[in-house]
Amino acid sequence: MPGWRQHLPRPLTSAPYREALARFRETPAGANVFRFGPYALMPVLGAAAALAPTFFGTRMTFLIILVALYVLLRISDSLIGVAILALTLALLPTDMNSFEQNIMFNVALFTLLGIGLNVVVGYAGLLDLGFVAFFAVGAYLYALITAPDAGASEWAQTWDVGLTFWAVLPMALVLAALIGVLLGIPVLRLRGDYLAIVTLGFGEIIRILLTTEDYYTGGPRGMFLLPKPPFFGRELDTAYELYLVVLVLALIAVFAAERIRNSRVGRAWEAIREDEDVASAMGIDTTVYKLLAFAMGAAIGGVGGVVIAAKQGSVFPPDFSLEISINVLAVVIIGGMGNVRGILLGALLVIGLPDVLRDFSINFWAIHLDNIGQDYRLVIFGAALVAVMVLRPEGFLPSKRRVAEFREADLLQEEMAT
Amino acid sequence: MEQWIQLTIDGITLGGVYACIALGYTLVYGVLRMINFAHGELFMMGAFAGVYTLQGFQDHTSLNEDLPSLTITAAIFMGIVVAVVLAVLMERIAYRPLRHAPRLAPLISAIGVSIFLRNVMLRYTNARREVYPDVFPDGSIEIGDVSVSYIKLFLIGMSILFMVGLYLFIQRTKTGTAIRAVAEDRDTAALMGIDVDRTIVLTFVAGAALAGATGVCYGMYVGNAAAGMGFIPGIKAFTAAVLGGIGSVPGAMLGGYFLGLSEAYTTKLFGAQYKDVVAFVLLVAVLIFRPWGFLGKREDRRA
Amino acid sequence: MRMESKKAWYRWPLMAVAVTGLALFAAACSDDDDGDDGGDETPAATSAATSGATQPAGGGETITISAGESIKIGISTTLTTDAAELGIPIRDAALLALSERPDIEGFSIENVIADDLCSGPGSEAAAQQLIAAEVVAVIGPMCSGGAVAALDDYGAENIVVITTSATNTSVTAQGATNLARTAWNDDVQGEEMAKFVYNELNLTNVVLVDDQSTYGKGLMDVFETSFTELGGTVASREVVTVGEQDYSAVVTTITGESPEMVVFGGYIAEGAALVRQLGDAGYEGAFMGADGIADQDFIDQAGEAAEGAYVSRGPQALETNFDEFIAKYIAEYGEDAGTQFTDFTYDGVNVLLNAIEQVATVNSDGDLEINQDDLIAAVKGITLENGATGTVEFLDNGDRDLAVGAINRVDQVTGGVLVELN
Repeated sequence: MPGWRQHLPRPLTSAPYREALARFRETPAGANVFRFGPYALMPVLGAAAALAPTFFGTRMTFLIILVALYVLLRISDSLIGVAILALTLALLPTDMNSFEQNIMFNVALFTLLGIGLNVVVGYAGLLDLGFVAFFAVGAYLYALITAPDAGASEWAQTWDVGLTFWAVLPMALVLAALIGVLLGIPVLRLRGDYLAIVTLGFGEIIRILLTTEDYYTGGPRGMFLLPKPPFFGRELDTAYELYLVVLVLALIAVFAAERIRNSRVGRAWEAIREDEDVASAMGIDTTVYKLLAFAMGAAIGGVGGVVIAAKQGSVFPPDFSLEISINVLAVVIIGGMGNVRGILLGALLVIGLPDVLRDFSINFWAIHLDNIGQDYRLVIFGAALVAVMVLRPEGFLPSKRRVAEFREADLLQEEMAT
Repeated sequence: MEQWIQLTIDGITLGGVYACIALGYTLVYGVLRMINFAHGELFMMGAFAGVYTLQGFQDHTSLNEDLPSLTITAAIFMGIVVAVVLAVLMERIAYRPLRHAPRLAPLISAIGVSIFLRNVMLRYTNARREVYPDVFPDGSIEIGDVSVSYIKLFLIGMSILFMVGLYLFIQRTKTGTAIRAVAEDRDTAALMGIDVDRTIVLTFVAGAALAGATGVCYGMYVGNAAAGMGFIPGIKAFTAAVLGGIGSVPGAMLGGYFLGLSEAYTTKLFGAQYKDVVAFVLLVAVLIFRPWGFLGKREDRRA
Repeated sequence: MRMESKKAWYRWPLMAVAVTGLALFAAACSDDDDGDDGGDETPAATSAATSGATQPAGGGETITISAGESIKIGISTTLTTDAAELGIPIRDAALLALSERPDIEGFSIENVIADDLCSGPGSEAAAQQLIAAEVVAVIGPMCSGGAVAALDDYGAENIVVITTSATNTSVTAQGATNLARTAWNDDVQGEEMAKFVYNELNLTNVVLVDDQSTYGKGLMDVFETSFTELGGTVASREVVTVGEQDYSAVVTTITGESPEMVVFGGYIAEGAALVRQLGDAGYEGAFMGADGIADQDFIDQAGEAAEGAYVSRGPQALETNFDEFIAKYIAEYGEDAGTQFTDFTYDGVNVLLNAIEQVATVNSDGDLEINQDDLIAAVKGITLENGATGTVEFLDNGDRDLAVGAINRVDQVTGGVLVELN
């Protein structure tokens, strides 16, 4: 297609630039820039954290964090990089107000959930639309066995277990993993989209049971007055403190997930994802490995549920709807499927964006649109999801193998078309 | 006994609606191997187009009383037009660029479209329901203790009509053959001289037309149109499509009726709160014995 | 590369959209700075926040509003999702009430609206948004579940909350000191409904239907208990699913029980669909709903089938200015606007403004000072005469005081409108 378009500047990702960049990377100076350059961005991120909320407002801060994290995550690959990143993330919300800290908490929580779902979807290639089930299991377990007088649940009032947050965490992990396995057994034979609808149904079933079994759960009247996590004689009750808790849990989850991915188990998952029949023919027990993926993803989801119950101080069945599963899936895919680092970016976009748009209003020249964000943020969000997928179909930070597969398939298609 | 007959009729009514929406899922899945999550929203937009058409007739003419058959036909036609236009735009903007993308990218894109459309309508209507003018004659047929209102009969009849129409379109016309060919093997179809892009658009058009028309009929039945009305039927229809074997046209119809009937009977047996539980348990049970659904084709490659 | 030449056409427009979006962001943000200038005290506010959080209730601060600034009132209601059908009228009623009293002590009143999504996490996010916007007090959250989740967030900041629509008992059962509720709680209404059906209508055999929401199920639970205590029979309890519209299977099950009356706990859309389909199925018994459907919308959506339905409006003071309020409201927003909970919201805002007027003092610098503890006490101790819902007084737990003189008002749909019985 000839015409005016050829006179437009080439996008920065186009071949000449990319090749020039690659050549620069070959030179010794270039190698150093690529190796240490990212750390030069750390101060930028730090400055953004310290100054941006006060000087630029919530949305600009969000934008700066998003861009800086994108560049950092894209380039830095070493353990030191991860450590510095973790430290920066921990310090990031210190100067934010409670609204922004709350957003950061939600972003971190969905990063944690995303890490869990990524094991199932990204590593093992099993499409799970019912992730919220495990989230709900964790949350309700916390509500049932911590609260001395938990709202409308007769069971909790009768038994009055009264455990603490830290004791519930491992229990939720085990329980959610067990339920993951229980769900996994009947559906193992299913593939692709058949699995998707069955898991979706499982998520819905859990929510319905939470609504109807009101002896245990209090039904729609919910359970409330849940305790906050105790910590050396005080309670962690601000969004920032709980954000730190989630961050630590997410770090542990990342390490666990990455270690497993690089082990024999991870390679088995990869084989199953690529071609189940061949994997099975190679002597991989697909049943066991699929169950393992389900269990691990579920365990992380359960832990996330415990945290949200503690943060919110109450649980209600409608809060565990299909929407959560869809959001977590969007986090994983937009982040770049199969890549743990991308999940953070996915969560910033999918979870952060609708909330930072909350107080968005346009007062520009003669245009005065108050509360446009309040009313239209989900319209903008829906359009953003489409735009992101169209512009970056493989996600923000796809795993390298995925990109390779993607390009390969594309070239193949091209050849066929010509 | 009368009650069970009544429940069967209720189940068939709802099942027909599910089946009509499920057909859109199944067609698109057949040619693109993608779940079009925004399909339920086409149903919703169709219902809105219908209600605005009928309200227009109500406000400016007396045709709603004089010649309801004309206004109802016009409403259904408008529902089809709006849903088709949206589906073509949707395919062009959100799905075509992702034709060769990783498998889950179009899914997220579709979810984006769904959120977008739902919230646009929510703002446009200011979250109010649009009430359908009373055009359909009241009354019902009584056979013994079983009573079926005219509107219910209308909905049952229309859904069967739509399905038969679509079935004939797929089986008998040249375009239908092309759709089936692309679903079978896109590359070979292209080699045979079939314009794949055009066929994919036509698939969306066929599914959307069905969803839009069903939306108008369903809207008349329940009496209103609301921005959130497409979501649950969309999910249910997706379930029905999978149950019948996703990609299979007769399978989607069967799945729809199966789901509708199971919901109706469960409501009586266990209470309406458990109808989704039973539906999904049945789904799992069916899939354990027939992993490809009732009439789905066994696929040797990973879907 | 070949690949790019093929894809290029849509990339550019999308990039353009993205860049425009960023520009809009920037535009809005630069405007934000104006707003943030007053927010020079952000660090101060943060420290106030943390100190408020660590102290038990009663540790409220004195809010100082400097001359030229405005008093910010938060409105937490549902603007997106289907529940916005109720949320938008609540917002509009609050705005109407605020517009009638533009200033207190010469300080203008500014509203900050937050979307609470009718859910726990949504209400918490809305709470944080309002807290960050430094509101003095909050009208909302809209839904009971959300109110329960967000109460401790507001409590930590000692911000007084007046919910005008979260009617479940659990909201006031939490022991929050900073809460008042202008809507009547479900216990009162459920019991009164049961008495009305049993004593006034002399019906003994009913089927209860709820929408599985905190409100609907809670109300029907209370109804069931009271009704069976009176000697009535609940033939069965059915549920409908919010978001669905075809309830014909439920209707068939109900008619199979041949009850004298169907009692429904839930909101307009589901109630209207249920009545309509009951009518279609030839059901001839009575129907009763509660304040969740007390709206002209219910009649419009249900059509002719709604004729004769009883609608409990909840307890009402003997003397109300409801008609006067509703005339004003309709003059402002038109006949089509929803009216549910608008009267409670209107009164809620007025309670709040009266309370602020009582406690706000102008200091020597010309700044307005509002002590949070005093404000909470003032709200709790208020007597609002001639409200749209009658005289408003609160009990210690924040519930409306019935002793002021209230009866459970029941309307009947007659000739396409709600008409008060008696």
